[in-house]
This record gives sequence, C-alpha cells and structure tokens, in this order.
Amino acid sequence: MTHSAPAFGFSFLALSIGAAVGWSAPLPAKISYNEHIQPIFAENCFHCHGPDSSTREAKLRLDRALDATSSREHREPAIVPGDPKASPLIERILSTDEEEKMPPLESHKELTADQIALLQRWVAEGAVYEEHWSFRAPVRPAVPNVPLAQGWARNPIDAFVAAKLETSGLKPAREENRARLLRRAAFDLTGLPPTPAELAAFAADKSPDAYERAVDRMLATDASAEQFARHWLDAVRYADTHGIHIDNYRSIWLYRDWVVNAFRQNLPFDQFTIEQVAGDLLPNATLDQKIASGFNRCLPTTSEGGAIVEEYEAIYAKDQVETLSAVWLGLTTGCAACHDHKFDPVSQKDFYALTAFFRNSTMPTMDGNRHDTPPTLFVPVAADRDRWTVLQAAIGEGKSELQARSKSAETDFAEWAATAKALIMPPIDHSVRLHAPLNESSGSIAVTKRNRKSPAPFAVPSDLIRGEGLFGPAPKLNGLDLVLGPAVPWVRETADSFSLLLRVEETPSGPLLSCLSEDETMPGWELFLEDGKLGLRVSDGEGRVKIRNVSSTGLTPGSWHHVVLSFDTASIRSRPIEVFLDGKSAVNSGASAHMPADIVPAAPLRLGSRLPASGGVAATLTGGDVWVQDLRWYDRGFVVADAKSMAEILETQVALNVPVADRTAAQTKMLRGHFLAAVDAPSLQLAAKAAPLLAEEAVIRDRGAITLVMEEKPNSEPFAHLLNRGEYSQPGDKVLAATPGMLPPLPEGQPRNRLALARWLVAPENPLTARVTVNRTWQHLLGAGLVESTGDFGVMGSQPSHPQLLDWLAVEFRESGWDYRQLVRTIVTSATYRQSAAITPALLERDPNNRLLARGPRYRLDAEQLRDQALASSGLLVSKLGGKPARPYQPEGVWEEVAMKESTTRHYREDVGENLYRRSLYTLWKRTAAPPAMEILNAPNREVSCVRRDRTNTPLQALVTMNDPLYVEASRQLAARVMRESSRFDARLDAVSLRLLGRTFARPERTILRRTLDDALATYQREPDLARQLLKVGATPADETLPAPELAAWTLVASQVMNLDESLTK
Amino acid sequence: MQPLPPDWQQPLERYNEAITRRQFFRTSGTGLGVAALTALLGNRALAAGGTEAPVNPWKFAPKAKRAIYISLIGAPSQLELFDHKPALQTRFREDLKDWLKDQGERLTGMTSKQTGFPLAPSIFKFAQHGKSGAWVSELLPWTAKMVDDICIIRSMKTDAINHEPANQLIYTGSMQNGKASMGSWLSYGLGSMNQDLPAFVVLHAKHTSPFSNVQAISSRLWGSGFLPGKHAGVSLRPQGDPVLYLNDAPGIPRDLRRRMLDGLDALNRRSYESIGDPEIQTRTQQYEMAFRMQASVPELADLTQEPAATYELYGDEARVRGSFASSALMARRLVERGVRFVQIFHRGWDQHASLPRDIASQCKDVDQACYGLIQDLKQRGMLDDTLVIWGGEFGRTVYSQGTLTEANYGRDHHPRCFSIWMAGGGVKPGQVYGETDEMSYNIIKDPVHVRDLHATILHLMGIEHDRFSFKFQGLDQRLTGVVPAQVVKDILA
Repeated sequence: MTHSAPAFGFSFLALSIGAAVGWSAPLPAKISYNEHIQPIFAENCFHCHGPDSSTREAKLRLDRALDATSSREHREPAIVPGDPKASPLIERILSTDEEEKMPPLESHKELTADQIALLQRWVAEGAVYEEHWSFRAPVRPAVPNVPLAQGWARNPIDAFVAAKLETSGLKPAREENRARLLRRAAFDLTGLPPTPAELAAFAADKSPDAYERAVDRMLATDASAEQFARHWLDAVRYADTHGIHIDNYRSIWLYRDWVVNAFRQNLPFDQFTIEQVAGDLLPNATLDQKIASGFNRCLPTTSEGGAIVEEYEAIYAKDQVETLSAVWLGLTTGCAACHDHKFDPVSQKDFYALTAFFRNSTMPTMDGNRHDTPPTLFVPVAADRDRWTVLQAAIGEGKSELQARSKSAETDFAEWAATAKALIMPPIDHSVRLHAPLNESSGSIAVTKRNRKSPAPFAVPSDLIRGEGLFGPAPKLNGLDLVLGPAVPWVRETADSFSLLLRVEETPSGPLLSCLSEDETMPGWELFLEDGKLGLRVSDGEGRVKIRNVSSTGLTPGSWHHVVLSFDTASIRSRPIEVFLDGKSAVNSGASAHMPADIVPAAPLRLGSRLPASGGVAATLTGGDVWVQDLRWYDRGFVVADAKSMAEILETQVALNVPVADRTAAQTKMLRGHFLAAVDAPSLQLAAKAAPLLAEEAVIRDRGAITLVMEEKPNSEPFAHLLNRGEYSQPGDKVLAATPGMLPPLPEGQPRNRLALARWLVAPENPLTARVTVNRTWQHLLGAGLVESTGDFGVMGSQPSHPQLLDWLAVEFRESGWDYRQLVRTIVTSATYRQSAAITPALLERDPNNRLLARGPRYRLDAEQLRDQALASSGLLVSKLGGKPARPYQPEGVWEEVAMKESTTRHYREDVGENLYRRSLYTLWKRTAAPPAMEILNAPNREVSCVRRDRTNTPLQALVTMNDPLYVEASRQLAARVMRESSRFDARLDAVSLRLLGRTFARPERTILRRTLDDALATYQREPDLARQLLKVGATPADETLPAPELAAWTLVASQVMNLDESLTK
Repeated sequence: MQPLPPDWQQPLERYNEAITRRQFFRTSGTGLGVAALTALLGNRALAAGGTEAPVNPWKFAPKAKRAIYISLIGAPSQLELFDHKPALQTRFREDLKDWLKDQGERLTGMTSKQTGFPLAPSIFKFAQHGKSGAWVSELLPWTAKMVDDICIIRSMKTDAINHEPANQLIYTGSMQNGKASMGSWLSYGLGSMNQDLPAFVVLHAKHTSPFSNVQAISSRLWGSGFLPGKHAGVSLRPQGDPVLYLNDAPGIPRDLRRRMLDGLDALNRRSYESIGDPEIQTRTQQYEMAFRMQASVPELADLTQEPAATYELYGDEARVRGSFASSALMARRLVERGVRFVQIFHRGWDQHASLPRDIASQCKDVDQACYGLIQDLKQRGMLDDTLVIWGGEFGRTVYSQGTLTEANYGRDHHPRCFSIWMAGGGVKPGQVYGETDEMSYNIIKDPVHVRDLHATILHLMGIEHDRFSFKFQGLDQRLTGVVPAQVVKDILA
C-alpha cells in the first residue's frame, strides 16, 4: 500500500459518492465493530490483510487494533482513529484509480456505499475494535422485560424472542393446536410419531401443565435417547466401515450404543464430552469409559496398498482436529492446516498443536482392513460382565497352575522324551463339534460328537485298509463312501472348520471332504484333490457363487501333511474361506471372498467320496492312495497363525525320531509342548479342569463384541510437526500439544494430553463449547441455529440472530450441570417453540427463513424419522435397543457397483426377521455407499463431521417414500391394522391419519381419500392379480383373513396419507 | 419428455432472484409455469455460511453445453496407449534404481521396497494415424481411426500417488473429503436443460475381464459435498430400477398412481391453504416430476429401439446392459435429452501385474464404443457443443513392478505424467499436446495439472473458473482450488 494518491482527491470523492449514491439505509446510532465492521473486513479485506501471514499484503493486518493503527516499517498507520480523512484505509477504498482502489479489481469484490459510510463513521468514532463475540466467555444476560412478552412468555427464552420481535414490529404467532404440537414434540424428542393412545391421553389431560408432563414422559423414553444419539452420530461421523479404499466392515457399534446409553442416562454433557475425547485416560477408567473413547476411532481410515503412512497420519490428524473443532468449538480450523487461518485468529501453529493431541495413539496408520484394528476391547454383554471378570480370574489361575506344572514336569518330560516311540493324539477342546481319531488298529471307527449339530451314526465299513499314521494306524480312503453326518451349510455369521492329517501316494484326484453332489446345479462345497493338489469348490447352485480353485503346489507323496479348511463369516474377515496346508495358505475362495449367497448343500458331509448322481456309485479317490487321520470339525474359524501352530505336529513327529542327543533346542521345545498337551497326566488333568471355563469363555465371547477404542502411547509426550503448506512430506518445527492461542490456555501443571484437552473443552472459561452445543440443539428443534452457521462461530460465520438468548442458554446449560435433557425441555416448553407454523404472505415476505421466530418450526422430517414413522405407524417397528448394525431392504447392486472384490462389504445381504424393522439409526452404514434411501433424503455420508444437514426437496425423495419396499410394506401393514380394527370407512381412515398426522381428516379431505379408495378398489376387484402382487411386497406376509382387493386398496390409501406433505413434515 | 432450449434455467434463476417471496406466494398454484418454477427453487434457501444462489459474473457464452467424462478408474498406462517411447526398446531390464534416486520422486508402498527397478518397454506396437500423425498403440485400433477428431494430452500431471486421493483430486478438485464433485459444480452452475431428468447422471460400466484389478470408488466422486444435495450425481443403473426406487410397486398400475397423485395434490393444496408454507407446493411439484420421470426414464433406458446401425457403430457389446458400450450409448441418449453432465465410471485399470493381458481386455471394453460415441455425436451435429473427456487418475511407471519378462510385467502408480484425450465442445481436434521425457517420467513440454484441466473444462462450459465459487466454511470454495490454475488455451479450437 503506497500513498501516492493526491490528498485533495479524497474529499472530492467522498462528497461526490455521498451525493450521487445516497444512503439506502440509515446508519445505526452506534457503530459496533463486531456487528457492522468485521463482516465488511472479513468479506473484503482479511484475505490479504488478515491473520494469515503468508498472504498478507503490504504488511497490513486489519483484524487487530494495534496492527491497524500502528506504523508499519516506513508507512503510516492504515487507520487514524477519529480521523477518516487522514486514514489511508478510507482513502484507498474511495479511490477511483484502478491501481489504488481497495479492494483491488482482481479480487472481484466491491464495497457498497453503505459499507463505505459505515467504515467512515466507525473510524470517525474512534475505530474501536472488539474481541470477536464468540471468543468472549458468555455472561448471563438480564432477561428483558418487554410488553410483548406479557401474557405470552412461558420462560426466559420467550422474553428474548419477544424483545427482538418488538423491535421488528412483529408479534408471535398463536399457539399451535394441541395435536399438532404433540406431534412436533414427539418427533423432536423421540423421532417417532405419537401413538393414538398418547394423543388421546394428551387431549384428555386438561391440566395446565399437561404439555410439560407429556414432554417429560417423552424425554424419559429410550426412543428419545435414540433420537438425540442420531444427531450426535452425524456430528462425530459414525459409520460401520473404514471408509477409504477397500472399505471393510469395522466393529465399533458398541460406541454407538454407548452414545444411546449416555442420552438414556442423561449423562451431563461435560462428562459426555470427557469420556468420548479421553475416556481411556481417566483414572481407573471403566469399561464404558473406554468404549466411549471410540469417538476417536470414528474417523475414516485406509489400508490401501500403496498408501504412504506419513501422508495418512497427517490426514487423520487433520480430520480429528476438524471434527473436534466443528463439534465443540464451532471453528473451521482445517483451513489452518496449510496456512494461518484467513479469517480467524487460528495460526498454523495452533492447528498443529491441536493435532498433537491425536498423534500419540497406538492406533496403526494402516487399518489392515480388519474389523478389529487395534486398539480394541472385548465387551461382554451386560449380563455377562460380572461373570466375565470372575471367569478371567479363574482362567488365569488355571494357566498359572499349568505353568507351574510345566516347570515341575521337567523330569517326567525328560524320561518320556528319552523313551517315547509315538506321539499321543492331543485331546479335543470345546470348539470341536466332531472328532474322528481314525487311529484304530482294527474294527470300527470311533467318533466323538458334541455341540448342537449331532451327526448321524458313522457308517463303518468292515474292510478298511490301514497304513502307518502319526498316531497309530490310519485308514486308506480310496473306494470308501463314509457319510460323516448331515450337510454342513455355510451361512453368514457362522463358522465351521475342519482339520485333518493327510498322506498321499502318487497324484490322486477326487473328493476329500464333500457336501457336494455330482449334479452341478445343487448348492454345496468340497475340499478335493486334483492331481495331488488341494482344491476348493463352492457353489450356490444358481451361479451367484461359483468357485473352483486349486493350489499351485502339490502334496509330497509319502509324507504326512496337515490340512485346515476354515470357513468363518462370524468374524467378518477378508478371507472367510481358506485352506491351509502345513500352516500356510494354499487355496482360498478368491477375490470374491464375501459370498453374495449362503451355501446350503443338500448332500450330507462325506469323507473321501461325493454324493452319487441318482442311482450311480459315489465318486471317490483315484490316481493314488490317500490316508487320513485325526479329523476334527470345529465351530470356529482359523487364521494362518493358528494353522501354523497346529501343523507343528508334523515337525514334532520328525523330532521324536531324532536321537535324544541330536535334538535341537527347538525340537526339544516342540516335544515338551506335545508332552504337556497330550501325555502328561497332571497337565491333562489341569487342562480338563480348565476346559469348562474355556468353553464358557467362548460362549460369552460369542455373545459379546469387539469395539475400537483409543489408547495413548506410553511414556510419550504428544507432539506434532508443523507441515509446510499442509504437506506431509514437508515437516517443519516440532510443536507440543496446546490449545489455540486466542482461547483460554490449558491449566498449568497437568499432562498436556487428550484428557487435558477434554477437560478444557468443558471448562467454565471456555467461551465456545456451551454456546455451540445449545446452538446445535436449538437447530435440531427450531430448524436453524441462532447462529445459522452451526459449525462456524468464527469471523466468517453468521452473526447470532439473538445473541443474548444464545448466551443465556449457554450459561443456563453450563450452570445446570450441563443437563442436556433440561436444555431440550427448556426449549420445547417455551412459547416460542409452541407457536403455530402457519405463515401469512406478509410474514413470509418479511422473514422467509424465520430468523425472527414469529412462528413455529415446520420442516421436512429427516430420513431416519420418515422411515421410523412408517415402521411405527404400521406396527412393524422392532423397539430393541442397540446391537450389531442391521441390514434392512436395499436395492440390489448399490454396494457392488463401488466396492472392491476383496471387500467384506461388497455384497449387501439383507437381514431376515426383526433386523429389517429396527430403528434407522441401527442401519449398517457403509461409507462409500451410504444407505441409498437415507442418502436421497439428505442423510450425510458420514465421511466428515456433519453438524447441519442439508434439506432439499427432490423427485427422487418422492420415489423413495412411494416405492421403497419398506414404505409399501408399511402401508400394507398399516392398512391391515386399521381394517382389523374396524369395518367402517371413517373409523379406518381416522386410525390411519391419527397414526401419521395425529389428527382426523375433515370432511372434504375424506371425500378425496374416499375417491382414492374407490378407484383402487375398482381396479383391484377387476384385477385381483394386481392386488396379490402389491400385497407380496415386503418380508412380512399379508393378512390372509382380509380380502385381497380391499387390503390392496387400503394399502394405497395408507401410502397416499404417508406421502402427504403433512406426514413428511414435522 | 420435453427437451428445453439450452440455458433455459439461468434466466429462470435470475428471475427467481428478482421476484420477492411475496410475489411468488401470491402467484403460486396458478399454472404450470409457476409450478415448474417452484420445483426449480427446490430447497428452502439456507443463507447461513453462504448458500445463496450464485450470481453469475463468472459466466460467458459456452463452447460446450454438455459434457461426457469417461473415467477409467485405476489409471491406464500412458506407455501402452499414447506416449510412444521407441527408444526404450533397447533398454529392456535396465535397472533404474540410481536414476530414480535422482528423480527424487516418492514411490508407493508397493514398490518402495523393491530391490531392482527394471525398465519395461511397452510390448505393444505403435503407429501414426490420421492427418495429425498421432502415435497410438495397437491396443486402441478404433481410437486410432479417430485421432483427427480428438486432442490427446500427454502431459497431464497430478499431486496424488494413490487411487483414493487421486480420484478425489481429479473428480472433486481436492484430495480432502467433503468437497463437491465436478458434475455437481456444473449442475450447480449451469442447471439442467431437461425438466424430467437430473442435470448430472452417473453410469457404472462393467468391465469384462475377471482378472482385472479393480479399485474402489465411492459416492463422494459424484457427491455434492458442500453444494446443495440436489446437485449430486444420480446413478442410472444397469440392474433393477434404472433410477433408484423409480418403478411403482408391482400391482400399482400407472393410472392408479396418477389418481393417487391427483388426490395427493388435492390434499396438499388444502394443507397449503391453511398453512401457507410454499414448501408444500414445491413438494407437490416434486411428486409430479417423479411421475414424469417414471415415464421418461424407462424410455431413455430402453436401448432396444436403437437401429441396427447404432450397434454397428458402438459394437455388439452395446446390447449388453451395463457394458461400457451400452453406457457410452446411454451417455449419448442422456446428453441428447439435455442432461448437462454424464460421467461413466469404468473400473479395472490398475495393472500392477500382468499388465499386457489386463490392459488389452480393458481397452477392448472401451475402444470401439468411444469411437462410436464420438462418431455418433458428430453425425448428430452434437460434437461441436458436447465435450468428451477420457482418462484416468494418474500414470504408470516406466519400470516394472514385480517380475519383468519378455512378455509380462506390471507398472506402479506414477503421478508425474499421464495421457488423456478430449474431444468436441470447443477442443481443437487432431492435436497432440504436451511431451514427456524419454522415460515417460517427467513432462518436458506443456504440463497440464489436474486443476488446469478443471479450469479448461469449466472454460469450455462457459465458466470463468476463478470467479466460480461457493461460500462454505467462510471460504470461497472453487473446483480449481486455491493454487492458481490456467486454462490450456493451446487446445481450444
């Protein structure tokens, strides 16, 4: 900025502009920096003259009084308080010289005459700066006393609203009619419509506090906790997949349930905050507090093959800080990743100091595409928790006893090791469903069966050929047709694995373990040999699953091999079907790991043969001899590490044959292991004692779940490097964890970690958290925040429409002990909230977005509320709290068209039964393909924090609520319900509308609906086939006691009511 | 389906801005004109943080009224297709380890631990074609026939070295989540030219080879990010309903749906009369538009009425629902009906290993259909104002990933150079632009960064990229981002 413009130009220009343009609005009596000046600066000047030092021009900084009014190296101050004429700032904005004029031409910005006048007056009045409003701690303002509030106000909120209405010359609307008000409150507080019974009870309750009591009743429901949790899950970007690249399933729903439970218990918001941000760091953290720390694990992560660790570490840290900033601080700190914030006093250093809090965790950068990326926590179901603790202690004790025995067993071991001629078959554990040792020297084969699936009796051939095995004689399979038991289906969320010892001569081909029939069209699976190599076949008989893979290396003839066939869809790993040979992966189901269909074979489980084609002889092994031994069928899955240790038996056998003196330390170790596991009587006794405990542990594990949690690196102080331009490859200075400079500092003398950060967020002196939280709550209830930019309370954010009300609510919230339920109650019981939403043309013109609150809120319901309404009104809703993500109806192909072959969320498979009808917040959320009906209705994709949903109105949304099978089925169930209740048209219609609208229809409306019913009935009576087709939609069967044409016609009526604007809107 | 004149929405939007809510309110419900207007207004304006309708200082007369972007996910190798390096033939298996060190380029986690970096010359033959004499490999015989219709850019470069960030950069202008996709920007800026179809349509074309290495994509590549949700790309699907939930439930005949909607309209009207919320009318109009879409989309998606000549042009594969060829044909039908931006995603181009086998089948999927599309547009007189872009998210390395043999090799990711082509819509045809060094490693002439490509696409669509912004989180968000971007003037017709 130079000062070559002639001094006389200024006054001339000022006069001419004033005269020519004229003021379009009177200037305010007193100019306020925050209210009037800062927005002009922010929009037009701060980009080059703001907090960001890297793009600052002419060394001029206009956002701070001292900088703006002091001399800059050889230059006079830009602003001379009290003297606009002498202030270069004013001079430059008035200039007509293209070189001189500010803002410059290339910025495409231009000041209006009003803005120029404001700046002139402000400078003339002394250019008084103010701290940005949101960075000052809120102070409880006096409640205004205005005439408009008399007789209308119900609580202080209304006094503030009335004061604003009075200055605007507006009046509040009348109170909403009771039924509509109850429906509004029900959706806001529970996310569900009121039931007819609740409506009736409310209508009958004539006491003055009937509404308040209805509110309290609703606030105390589980549904209410689910409704509040849903908003929170948007903010913390909760989802059930990793999000980047392969986008596999991630097990973190226990965190979601923690959020629901926190709202159920009305956990104070400060505690709610601390436990999520740093529950793991609390002294003696409880299981629940650790689960809460899963907040820190909700971020999208990757394990892409070529991904560069440092790059993703930077991305994750930024995401964590952006989320924290948006949710608690209402700040857009992300801008400061590359440079000092353009508008807010958040420097790049501030930003990286914040990232440091999150860069000290043990979480690996690459998520490994695992559902259980560490750190994790196993969480038993509530009923098992106490027993789990006891059990862990008992199991630990058993282990110690075993260890003690292993030490004292050394003499016995040495004796055995010196003399033993053969290995002893190790005993089976609790996970074995069936065991066939196959080591009898003659006669029949013994089979141990247990667990749920009891196989049919083993058919024992009399002419078995036996050869030498690891544990005694082993039978030869060739030519045998051994039926082990009924078919073993491979269905989702189960595990069925097999292990066996195998020896071949030459290169045999044929079935080993088979649930397959010769007929290719039948579903089945088979482990087979092909020219001496292991192979795997899986087919669903319909072409959706068709796998036939053969190992690349063959079995060594004459040697014993260890084979494991692992099928496991219970633990959601990338390779649910895998064959291990001698502890190494040999065959798997290929890239299409996650099967789009269950495999339910018709053929029983056979060893060494395959179900013959009808009338034929069973196919068996040819091309070489095959011996087997120690066949085990488990109810669990195996990974490579398990298979490796199981296969050690082969090396143990080798070790046994080595003379004692020549045995290596490793061989002796293996033998010792075998001795203790299979030979030593005291050890076996101890193991037998522990067996029921371990079995019980397995059962509890099955019932419980893993959840991702946060964990701090031990003995490491959080730090980060400043990254130049945000580039991970350009680390700069090291910074320690700290909070942004413009906000209160962390207290001294405490570790500067996440716990300190968490406590700082809810410290009384923090000016933002309370304001941001009450504002977001206000938005959820009234449709828009008092600060409309919910996630941005910074300089570029919106000004609060009712600053004093915001501060009153913030202080009230904090001083109530951060009582969230109380906050919600205060808002929904205000007269402001209770206003009618009807709009007059005059009001619409005056205040289209209802910033002045002269009417009640009226908005389209959220995606989840719409679906839940359909479920609730029809009676389909399954009100069950929490649990694994549910997979309701979804159109085919939505996952497949974006997913990678390897992904565990490649094939969407709908649930069966009650999970189809759970509340929408439990729907499995895949980040790269969000539930489509919800996405169409503006649900966010949960990839980044969302504190304010978009709310559009599109034809695609109409298609969802008309045609999504869920809505069609719900319409049918609602129709059936009301038909069963009454046979009269009016009564049925009332029953529909009460459930959806909370009211009964007026006569003219009934006429319209009657016409729909008559039209539909005529159609369906004429073409009953159409009726039957319509009634088939959805998994629940149609009520056959009702005449199909009539039920179909009422289905259409119910759907029509469900699609009314009034149904879709709160 | 009533195709509307191009650019019809802009005057309407300006009109919308001009009229007050009051006028609007008073004249509502009196006729289709106003009703259509209501539909267009769409969401209630949320002014906070800046979501107001764009003012249009950035707009000028466009060359292209619509665009088709053929997105080859996984990154096709420039060395096998357009960037001919005959001199490399004599350097088979030369270890580039030291040379790479001098380049100072980061390597992906997949090859950074490789001990040797053997140079892998392409095994595919190249020849010069057309008047322009452009070099094209034998893998693309049909593309070779149309080199005089297209402009090949061999000097594209990007900042990202892995698929996820690279795809995000090229389709949303940023490697960060939460940004708006290119199509949604165009929808936001230019609107639709057809009242029955969305402005931005996405097609997912199936690849045929079971061996192809398939990369994930996600809806963020066609999402609206911070822009209003109605600008998100709508998938036109090859299976089930062509648009999600488009078809009425079985057992609801069309005339009954009509009567149900008439009743809905009558009921909503009553509600509007008592409540006065203009959103009610908007909603009714959305239902009407949905009803029209139910008729127009199946007509659009029904390729059986195309004459035999069409299938000769695009290839018989175009008869297979969901194939690339049928997607290309569908793209033509979409732009013909006024859809502003069509994006075809074709996956399976990530050839870290078995590159010769896999790239051949991928090329076979797309080659003839791309030719067919360009010729088809030309025949219909639409190529002049339809921009077509073809390309992946980055290039591939000159050295082999994994084992190199005479007949087989793989290539890792390479961000420093890659080849794309553009055609129609104001692009100079028959041109080869940009040059890389002898290794196809660095650009030595006319680099085009992804943001320059964006600036150029916007320019061709009549948008000044540096003024075309949307206020979000206090910033003027732009497709082209904060680093200055240049329109590639040399390739403009």
